[in-house]
Amino acid sequence: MLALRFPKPTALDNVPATIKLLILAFATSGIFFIETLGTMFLIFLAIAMFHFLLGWQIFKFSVKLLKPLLPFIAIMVFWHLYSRDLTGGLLIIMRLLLIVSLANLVTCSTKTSEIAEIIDKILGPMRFLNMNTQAISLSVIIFIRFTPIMLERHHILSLAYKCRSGRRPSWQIILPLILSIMDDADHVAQSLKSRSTFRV
Amino acid sequence: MIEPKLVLNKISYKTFGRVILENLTLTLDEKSIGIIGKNGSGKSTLAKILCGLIHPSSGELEVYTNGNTKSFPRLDVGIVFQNPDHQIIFGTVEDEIGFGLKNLGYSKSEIKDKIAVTLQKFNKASWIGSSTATLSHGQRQLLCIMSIFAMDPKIIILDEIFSGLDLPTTKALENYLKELPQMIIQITHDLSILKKSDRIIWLDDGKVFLDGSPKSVLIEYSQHAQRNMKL
Repeated sequence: MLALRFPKPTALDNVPATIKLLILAFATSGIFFIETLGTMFLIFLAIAMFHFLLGWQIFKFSVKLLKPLLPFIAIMVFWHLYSRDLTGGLLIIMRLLLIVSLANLVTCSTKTSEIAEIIDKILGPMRFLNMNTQAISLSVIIFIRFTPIMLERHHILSLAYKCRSGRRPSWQIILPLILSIMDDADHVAQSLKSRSTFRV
Repeated sequence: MIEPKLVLNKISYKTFGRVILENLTLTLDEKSIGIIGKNGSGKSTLAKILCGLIHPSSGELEVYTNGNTKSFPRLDVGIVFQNPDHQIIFGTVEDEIGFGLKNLGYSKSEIKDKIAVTLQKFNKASWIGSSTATLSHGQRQLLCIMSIFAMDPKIIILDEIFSGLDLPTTKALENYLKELPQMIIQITHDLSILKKSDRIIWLDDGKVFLDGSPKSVLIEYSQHAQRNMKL
């Protein structure tokens, strides 16, 4: 099973989630002000080095997490080749890589319960309006949980398609993919219900 | 401790016009109960009704715990599902065990203590800080059992938790289960696990086909399966 969580505890786990999220918010906004490819590349290298310092296993894990970006990168390269603005395209691609790798760094080193707590705190005032803030923080956690599962289901269905067709999977696996994810959602709902007071 | 008891009074469950359970009237008060039956006989539906995940279409469920009578199990009845991947929601072992505890209203420090005690009880203190994704299938199943156990329900339902597990893992999990003080209701296709149960209920087409000691029911069930081999 894949998860948006580093395979082993890292030094980053000990940094309070609030600080990590604040730094992430500032860094993400800051990245939009960088206009030169060289600077972006240097920052990317620094992030890669940082991962490397956390351990080879963590580095490999994070590279794997960037893989789903490949189709988007390919589309952008083609589009910018067509519009003859490759530098502009590379800027967007680097921005994407930087933001996603930074976000992954925070998500994978922070317990979902800590993230949920922060969301609960931010949404605190809404409780006076009789809104269930736990439902909102839980949906964020479930979103984080579902992202890798969706990728894994897609991979399994692609293999199932390939082994009986010999071809690359086409749009035909989209419907089964959606159905299988809905099925999973049903199971998660029951798991939540069985351990909480959200019952039918 | 007052022994927990579940009383089913003419419970039926229908979905999309299909009858899944029909007029079940049972009193469950033994320490360990096995539920058997072929696929589609209504075992898992019954498990979900017993822990309050779904409501019966008709009939009533009475839950006796700690001398109280309730018509709804709330968190007194815990359930462990067949596939741990369907149950585990969080990325770390602590979050997974802590989720139910938080919903029971425990404070942060109490939750931390209870997680440590639970892990220790199962000899898995080293799991603190582990990612749930790095655990093996059997270990994940044990984590599911621990998350339910930590909530201290009076009754634990195990819905085919051994399927897909290898023999050593099954045996190891069995040893953990033997030690649990709770009333255990186990749904399984592995009859050898149920040999030491106090009672076996055989469901067929949503009705109780046979109900009694493992000795009588399990033998009859095996013979019946031999006679009716078909897909």
